[in-house]
Amino acid sequence: MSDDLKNNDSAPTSPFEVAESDKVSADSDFTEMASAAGLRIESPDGSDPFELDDQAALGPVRTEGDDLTVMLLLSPHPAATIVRKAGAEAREVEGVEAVLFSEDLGKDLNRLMPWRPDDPILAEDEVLYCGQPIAIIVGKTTAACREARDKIEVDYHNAPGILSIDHAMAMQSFHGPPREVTRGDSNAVFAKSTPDTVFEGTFAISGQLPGVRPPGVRINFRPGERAINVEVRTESPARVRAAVAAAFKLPESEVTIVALPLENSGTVSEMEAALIAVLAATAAMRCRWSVRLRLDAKETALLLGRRHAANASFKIAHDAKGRILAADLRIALDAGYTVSDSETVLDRAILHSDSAYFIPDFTVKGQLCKTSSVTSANLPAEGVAQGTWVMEEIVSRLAIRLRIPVEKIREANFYRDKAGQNSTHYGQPVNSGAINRVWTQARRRSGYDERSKAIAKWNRKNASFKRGIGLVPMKVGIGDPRSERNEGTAQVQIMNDGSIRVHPGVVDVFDGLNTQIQHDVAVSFGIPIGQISVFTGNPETTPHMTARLGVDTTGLVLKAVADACKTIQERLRTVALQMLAARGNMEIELEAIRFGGGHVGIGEVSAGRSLTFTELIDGAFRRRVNLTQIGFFRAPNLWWDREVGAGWPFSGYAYGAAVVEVQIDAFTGEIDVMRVDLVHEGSPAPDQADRDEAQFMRAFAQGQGWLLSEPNRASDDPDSFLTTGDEGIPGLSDAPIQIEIDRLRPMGELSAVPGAPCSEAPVVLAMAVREAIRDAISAFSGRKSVNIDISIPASPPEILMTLRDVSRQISEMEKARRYEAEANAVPNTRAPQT
Amino acid sequence: MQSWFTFELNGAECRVDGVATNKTLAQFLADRGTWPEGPCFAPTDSWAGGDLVLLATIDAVGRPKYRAVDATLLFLPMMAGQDIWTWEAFCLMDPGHTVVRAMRAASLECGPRAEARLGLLLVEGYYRQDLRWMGQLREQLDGIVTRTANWRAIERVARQIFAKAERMRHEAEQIAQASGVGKLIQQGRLDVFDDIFSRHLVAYYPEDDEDLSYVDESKRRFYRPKTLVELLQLKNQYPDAEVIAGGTGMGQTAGKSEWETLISTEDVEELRVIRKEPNHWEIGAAVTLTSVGETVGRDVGPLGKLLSRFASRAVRNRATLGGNLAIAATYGQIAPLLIALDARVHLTSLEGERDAPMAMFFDRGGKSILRPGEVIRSISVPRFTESILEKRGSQSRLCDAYMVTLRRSLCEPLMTGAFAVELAADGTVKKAWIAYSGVSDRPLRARKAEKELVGRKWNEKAIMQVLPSVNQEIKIEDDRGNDDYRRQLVITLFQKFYFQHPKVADDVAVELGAASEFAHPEQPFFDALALGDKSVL
Repeated sequence: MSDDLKNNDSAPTSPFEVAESDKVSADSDFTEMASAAGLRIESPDGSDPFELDDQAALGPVRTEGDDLTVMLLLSPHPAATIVRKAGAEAREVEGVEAVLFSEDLGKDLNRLMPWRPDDPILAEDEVLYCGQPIAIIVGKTTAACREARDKIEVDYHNAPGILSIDHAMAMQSFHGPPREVTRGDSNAVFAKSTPDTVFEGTFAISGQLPGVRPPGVRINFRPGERAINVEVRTESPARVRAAVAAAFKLPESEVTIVALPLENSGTVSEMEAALIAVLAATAAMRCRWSVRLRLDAKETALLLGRRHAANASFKIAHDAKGRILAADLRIALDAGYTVSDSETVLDRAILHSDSAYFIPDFTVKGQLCKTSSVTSANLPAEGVAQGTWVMEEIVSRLAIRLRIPVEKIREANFYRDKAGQNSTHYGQPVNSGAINRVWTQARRRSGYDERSKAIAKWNRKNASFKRGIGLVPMKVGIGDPRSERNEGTAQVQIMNDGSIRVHPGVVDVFDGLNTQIQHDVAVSFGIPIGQISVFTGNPETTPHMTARLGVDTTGLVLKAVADACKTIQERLRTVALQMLAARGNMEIELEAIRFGGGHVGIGEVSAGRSLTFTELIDGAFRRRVNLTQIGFFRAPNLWWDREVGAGWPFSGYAYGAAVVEVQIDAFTGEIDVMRVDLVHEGSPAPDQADRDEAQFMRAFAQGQGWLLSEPNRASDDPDSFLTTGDEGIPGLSDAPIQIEIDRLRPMGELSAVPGAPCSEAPVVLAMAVREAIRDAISAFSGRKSVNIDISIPASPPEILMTLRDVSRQISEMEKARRYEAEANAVPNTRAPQT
Repeated sequence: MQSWFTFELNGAECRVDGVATNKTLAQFLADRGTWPEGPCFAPTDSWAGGDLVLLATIDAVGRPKYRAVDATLLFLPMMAGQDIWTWEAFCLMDPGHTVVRAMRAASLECGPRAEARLGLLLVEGYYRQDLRWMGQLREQLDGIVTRTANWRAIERVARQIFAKAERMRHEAEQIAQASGVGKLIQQGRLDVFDDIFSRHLVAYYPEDDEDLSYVDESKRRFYRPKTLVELLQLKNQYPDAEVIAGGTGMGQTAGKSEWETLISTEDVEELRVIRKEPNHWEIGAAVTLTSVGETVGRDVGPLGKLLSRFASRAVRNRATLGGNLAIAATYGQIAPLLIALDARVHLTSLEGERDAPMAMFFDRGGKSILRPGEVIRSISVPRFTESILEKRGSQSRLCDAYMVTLRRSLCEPLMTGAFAVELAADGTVKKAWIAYSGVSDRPLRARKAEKELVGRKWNEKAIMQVLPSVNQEIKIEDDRGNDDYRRQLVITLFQKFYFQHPKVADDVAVELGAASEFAHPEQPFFDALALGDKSVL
């Protein structure tokens, strides 16, 4: 057969040539091509195709020449009309296989997801955001692709675009209707209040670009196979699979995803990975060969979503003691050009906008803004942080306004253990005891009161350096408001030698989950940890993988593992019963059989009352007992109705508190984070302290980076995304000098407590850093009631500007006071003369 | 010319044939599939910490050292004849190594790349003889930049490892003193750790090869001469050739830029030495910043302080003082301090030698006065001992430098200010230096303000009086952003200098912040007197 192929001159001998001919027929049907690909058997040099398969079986061939390279042409403008696209010259470049524009794909195939008509893969007539892909270039080498990319001509007719939330609000450019959650009637309270008990303001949270490593995609497309194989790095492989399948109208069962572990959590999240995968897959399908797409640092920065920037405006009514009686909050989030995950992020922001406080009459309105920027991403604690921070900011400003210590105001507003005062604005009950516990624990363990005094004393002696301390509580809902996401799967396989292999249904992000699973499985079967191997999630064994984001992924997966272990244990118990009975132990209760110390049974091995684990597995294998089980867990009774604004969206809450002490250098605005005390509820297991601690630290570090140093880039300037020296991800040198962690056992019934909700929640606690900065700046101002507007990120330039602003306010206040004093003094002095 | 070379990769000879001169070691290893994640994914951006390898080398005083270096900034031909290890191979080679065991035992929970980075920095620190105090810990590990690090566990592990190293060295020293081989420990030629890598290091001598002259497939050349004369001849022969030192600057564009001819200064004997003369330090242009910090930095406090925050440990292990000056980056953070230290730079070419004060070395438009065919030979930094000061008619000298960055390490500085004053016995200023970089196209001196300061008493009033001149002279003339901020820094950095050095008599900086309350920088990792530290491995 191979001879036939070789001798047949008229038949195309290389897939590259096929691609050439396909390129001409721009509107050829892709689905046909995809299925037709199954019939073609070709290899690059026309040799025996089966040789290629043999080689493939040995492992992927990974040399430069083998895969085709895919490169993208990205739009340099945030908004523009495309007047002309010309790729003829680029297609002539030697080594270039294809140059594809949206027209080459056809209207029908140029959709990331069929149900999202406003989400094209390649820009059509209009550019929707800066960095939008315009063309796909496929070539044999990177150099050829680059040359072709330079030769593509695109004429843009620039449009202004919508670049900020304010602009979007003014233009009424929104995604979907506004969302609202209301309790009581805040307007009635405002109507009754006097002006000095009503307080209004605005607060903006910037949406930073997470520090990312350039993602890559490899599409293994073997001529002769119908299925497509995608090697990708993503939080949510199921989503990528759905997108790739939808893009090619393939059944999902034909798309194989190889989910590579993610080094940093919060790198490539869901929609971006889907987009990149679909772009690469398009190239692979068109050229019928394996391709590789690797974005460089700048492209990565342009294409990957940033955090949701938020603008909040608020109006509150309070009493003289600082209790908030009513609040009206409006939160606008920058969703980017399309919604992707933003609806849930908005939900989370609304659901967390009470922070840990009971507000009797409460209205929150949320709106998603449509802007000319890349779609905003779902990153750890996305939405949760924005919502909580808005409320914490309000409380903090209220304290300055009333000149009451901020911790007193916080305490006065906590949820209380009284009917009607212990449930959120959407109706889910809150454990007020848990809030009080973490709060008092944090205050006591950190020595908050003594340290505040010591700091005040220190500040009096130091003119150019000031220290500040901040204390914030935290209440974070466990779970994703999309109730379908609150499920976990895991596959547990027991091998014939008694070793166990686990494939959890999530991508490995090196957050310690694997160690935790290893430990849990070892305990439940009573065998050494070394016998358990945990691999990164495999979408083939556990296809419905839980997305890595959402506050309770770890908990769900651990429960799923426990479920699988329990099922297998039950099967093994029966086997053990039979085997022990065969040894003469007739009166054993099934439930009495225990797993422990490498043995299974009810007592001494020597007495024949127990079996070794290996023995048991061998017996089970001989008795044809299924030793592979997929465990499943779903968080029960969750629902959230976005339209009505009510529900029971969370399995429960994770509670925590943090105390942070910082020091500000007034010469440069540099901030030192001196000490951090974290109090947080961890997983119920006492021996998970290290793992929990690792998760606390990782999450807190992310929050600190967001608030302190990671730069906020302009969404209309591609050059501002260059990742060079202005990188702001905190390093070890920026870490808090002293860190104390207090891990609490969750309150309440253990079975009802979710696993370990600490992988995302502590992001929120970084607000304490901001509070401490505010405290330090207020020390510079002599604790006067001035407006301290700290921007996010609070980088040294911003801090210095804030200090300048504060001193300006003070001098104006002084001036006003002097003027007033003079004005008062004037009549007295002049009186005798007139 | 040769079209191939070899180097030791993970203990085995690795032959390179015709590979492009601008290819980085990281790229080469990635293509070989040597990185943990295979070749499909790019090496890490050097600004994000890079991908490190362990390089055996000889330091400025001839001791063998392991250095963690960033493979994304190393051109492959630089590796000719060198000896490098990757973290993966290190773990396979010696799974029982202290560092490997300590890292496995701790819940660091980082991915393979971050683990490799941390592991190699810890290995370097483990074999470092001068890593003794808590204050040095962040300096050693400042290359760890990740948004998801368990900072606390990292510090704990590092402390354990370095304490163990100290203890073993201490014990070996006590035994060695008895047997009279104490000197060998100082020279790094006695195995005190008793592990494979320690033995490997103790026996390490650089290959005494001929000069390297390598040509790749596209006829691009890479030269690594052994003597200064050869270097200058090559430079003459190829006027367009690029001189490359540590490569940490050019490495950032590796793969994107191409150079016809590269001439490395790495092996040039004359450029690799640091000499302590009675009146000054003579620092060879090709000495790495780590070596400068370990020798001159100990003596000249501000230089040590500044270098400890230069980029990151892995970059300092390759970057050279000459290279840093030669590229004349507008934000170059060392130049202002060298100006304040009254340093001179010595240039050499086939025509002869010349030297210039540091401030005169930089020219308009981000250039230097280096002529074609000329290279920096050395930088001389005066030593201000009492007798030398006396000769200059002063009693004391105050000097410091401040670098402002958005994050502490691995960051291009926004601005650097360096200041010095020489004071007579009565507290009047005899001479002053006020220098900034990151404000214009070259480092600037506020000469008018310096003159105004002379003759005044060193006090706050004097500072306030010269500040308007400083403000007038130092203008923000580039477009690197944050203009307002930098304009303010021009003033406040100088003020900070006064506040930190208000005393006339001695140059002991006042601690302005309260960091030491929390950090305990002077606390040793291992205290021989405090017996029985249980946390030690």
